[in-house]
Amino acid sequence: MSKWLKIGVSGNEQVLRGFLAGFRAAGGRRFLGAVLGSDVPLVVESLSEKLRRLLAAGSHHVVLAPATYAARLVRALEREGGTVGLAVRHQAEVAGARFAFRAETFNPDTAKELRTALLEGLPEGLELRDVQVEELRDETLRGAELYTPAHHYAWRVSGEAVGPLTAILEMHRRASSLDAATAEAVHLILG
Amino acid sequence: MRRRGLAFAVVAVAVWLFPELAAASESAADLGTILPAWSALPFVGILLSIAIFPLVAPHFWHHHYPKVALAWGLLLAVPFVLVYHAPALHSLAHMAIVDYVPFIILIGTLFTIGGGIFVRGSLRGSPLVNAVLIVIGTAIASCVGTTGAAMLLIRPLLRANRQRRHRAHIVVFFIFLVANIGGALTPLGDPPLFLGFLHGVPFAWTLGLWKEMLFVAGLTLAVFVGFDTYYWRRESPEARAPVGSARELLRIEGWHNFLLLGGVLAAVVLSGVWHPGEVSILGVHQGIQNILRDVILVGLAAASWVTTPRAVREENEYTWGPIKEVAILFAGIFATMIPALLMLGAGEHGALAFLVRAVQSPRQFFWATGSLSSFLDNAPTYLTFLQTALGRIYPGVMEREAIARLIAENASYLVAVSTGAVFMGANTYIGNAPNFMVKSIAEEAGVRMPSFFGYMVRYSLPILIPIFAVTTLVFF
Repeated sequence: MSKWLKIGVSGNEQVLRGFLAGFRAAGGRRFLGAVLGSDVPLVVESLSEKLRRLLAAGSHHVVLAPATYAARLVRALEREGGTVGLAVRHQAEVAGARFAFRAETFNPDTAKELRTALLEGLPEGLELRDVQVEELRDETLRGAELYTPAHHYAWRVSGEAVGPLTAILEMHRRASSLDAATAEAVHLILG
Repeated sequence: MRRRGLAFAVVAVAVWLFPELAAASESAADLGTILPAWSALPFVGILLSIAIFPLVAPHFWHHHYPKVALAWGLLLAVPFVLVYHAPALHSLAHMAIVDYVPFIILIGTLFTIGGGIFVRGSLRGSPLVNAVLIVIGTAIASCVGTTGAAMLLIRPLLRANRQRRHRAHIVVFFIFLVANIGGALTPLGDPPLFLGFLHGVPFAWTLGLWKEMLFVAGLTLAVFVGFDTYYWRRESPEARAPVGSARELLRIEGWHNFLLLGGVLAAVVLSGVWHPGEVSILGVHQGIQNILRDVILVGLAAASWVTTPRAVREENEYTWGPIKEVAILFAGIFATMIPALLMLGAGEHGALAFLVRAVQSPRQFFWATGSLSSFLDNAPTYLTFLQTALGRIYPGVMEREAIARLIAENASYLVAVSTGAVFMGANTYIGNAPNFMVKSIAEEAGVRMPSFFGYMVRYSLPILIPIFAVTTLVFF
C-alpha cells in the first residue's frame, strides 16, 4: 500500500487552499494528489479531533498528501505558513482507508451499471469486504399500482471498500457519482 | 362457488328486508345521534392500513390487501346490521348505490381511457421542457383525472430526463402538480371532488377554485423552475447536450381516446344539470340521470378497450390491477365510513361532536382536511370534513339542501375542504393514490426517489407547507 500523511493544519481554509495551489505550481506534476480533508467526506476518528474541530470552529483542517512529498509539504508549511497564519498542528501516517457503500435499484439496466461500477474493474489494490448482493424478480408484481406498490425487480448491494487511500478516493468518487448508490464517509487507517 | 353462495345470501337478505329498507331511510339519519364514537374505529383502521402497510410490509400488503379490506369491512358491517337492522342495511345500500358504484365506474372509466393514450418520442429534459410538460399535465389533470394525467405524462418526462443525474426533484414536483394540485378544477380531476359532486356539489362550482389552484400551482411551478435550473447547471455537458439525430418526434398514439374523455365530461356534466326523475333500488332513491351517466361511462370505457390497439396499452404497462385495488379497498372504505359520516352529520348531537366543535373557521377546515389528507386517502377525508362542516352549520338538514345552503351562504368552508383535500394530498406519498404510482414508475426507470420521510423533509415541508401557509393568508 502506498503511504500517505495526514497533516493537521490550523488557519484560514482559503489561505490553505492558496498555499497548496502554490506548492503544486512550484513542484509541478510531482506534487499532484494532495487533497484537503473538507473535499473528502472523512469520518472524524477521535474524540480529541472532534473537540479540536468544535473549538477551532472552522480553523482546523486536514491535508492528505502522498508520502513521496508529504515531508516537503510539512517543511514548507512550517517554514512559510506562519507568514499567512498557517501552522502544522499534528501529523500521522495513513496506511490506507475504507468506506461502506450500498445501492438499490428497481431497474435492470441501472443494476448492470451499478454492478460494473461497484463490483468490477476495481482500482488497483482495492478489495471489497462483506459484499452482499441481492437480486429479486417477481413477475406477479409487474405493472403500476396505486395503493399496493411493489416492484417486480430489485437489485441491492452493500459492502465495504478497503485499500490504499488513492484507490479509496477514486472508488468513493465513482460510487458518489451514481444516483442509486450511497457512499458513506471515509475512515482513514492510520499507520 | 363459495362467493356465489355469499352473493346469493346477501341478495336474499336484501330482498327479504326490502319493505323495511324502503322505510328505513328516515331512521338511518337518526343513527348519527346514537352511534358510539368507537364505531368509527374500523374506518380509522382501514385508512391506517392503506397508509402504513405499503411502507412497512409492501409484499404482504400487495398479496393480502383484499383480506385486510374485507376484515375491516366485516368488522363494521356485521355488528352494525345485527344491532341496527334495517336502518343499517339502508345505510350500506345507500352508500353502495349512490357513492360506491358511480365512484368506481368513473375511476375505472378514466383509467381505462387514459391508459389508451401513449405519448411517444423523446425530448431533452431542460428546465423549460420539464416545466412545459408539467404545466400540460397540471392543465389536463382536471379533465382526465390526476391518475390519468400522471399515467399519460410520467413516462415522457422520465424519457426526456434519462441522461440527467439529478432527476428525483422533477418527479417530486410532477407529483405535487400533476398528481395533485392540477386536479382541483372539476369533479373529474380528483376523487374527493367527484364524491362532492355525487353528494350535490354542482359540476361548475369546482371551476370556481381556479384562483386558489392557479395561485398554488404558480408558486409551486416557480419553485420547480428554480430547483431544476439549479440542478441543470450541475449536469454534465453530455446530459445537457441536444438530443440531436437520435431525436424521435413527439406523437400521441390512441388519440381518439381524447374524444372518449370528452364523452365522459359530457356525461358527468349532463348528470348534474338534467333531472328526469328517480327510481328506487333496494329502497334507495337514485336519479335516472345518474344511472344513465354510469351506463354511458361503462360504454365509453368498453369503446376505449375495443378500439385502442393492444400495443398502446402494453407501452403504458396497463393492467386491471389499479382498478381492482380501488374497487376492493374503496368497498372497505365506503362501508366503514358510514358511522363516521352519520355521527358527523348529526353535528353537536353525535358522538363526534368534539370534532365538529374543534374545527370552526374555513382556515381550520383547510388545514384539518389537508393534514388528514396528507396521511390518509383524500377522498374519504373530504367527505368526513364536508359532513363536519354541514353538521356544524346545518345540523339535521337533509344533505343536498345543506350543501346548497353551504354554497350559497358559506362557500368558503367548501372551498377550504375541497382545496385542503386536493392540494395537501401532495404532502406525502400516501396522500393521494397516483403519488405511489408515479414513485413506483420512476423507480423502475432508475430514478432514486426519496424515502417516505425524505420526501417530506426535503420537499413537502420546506416547499409546500410555506406555500399553503401563504394560501391560507390570501384566501381564508
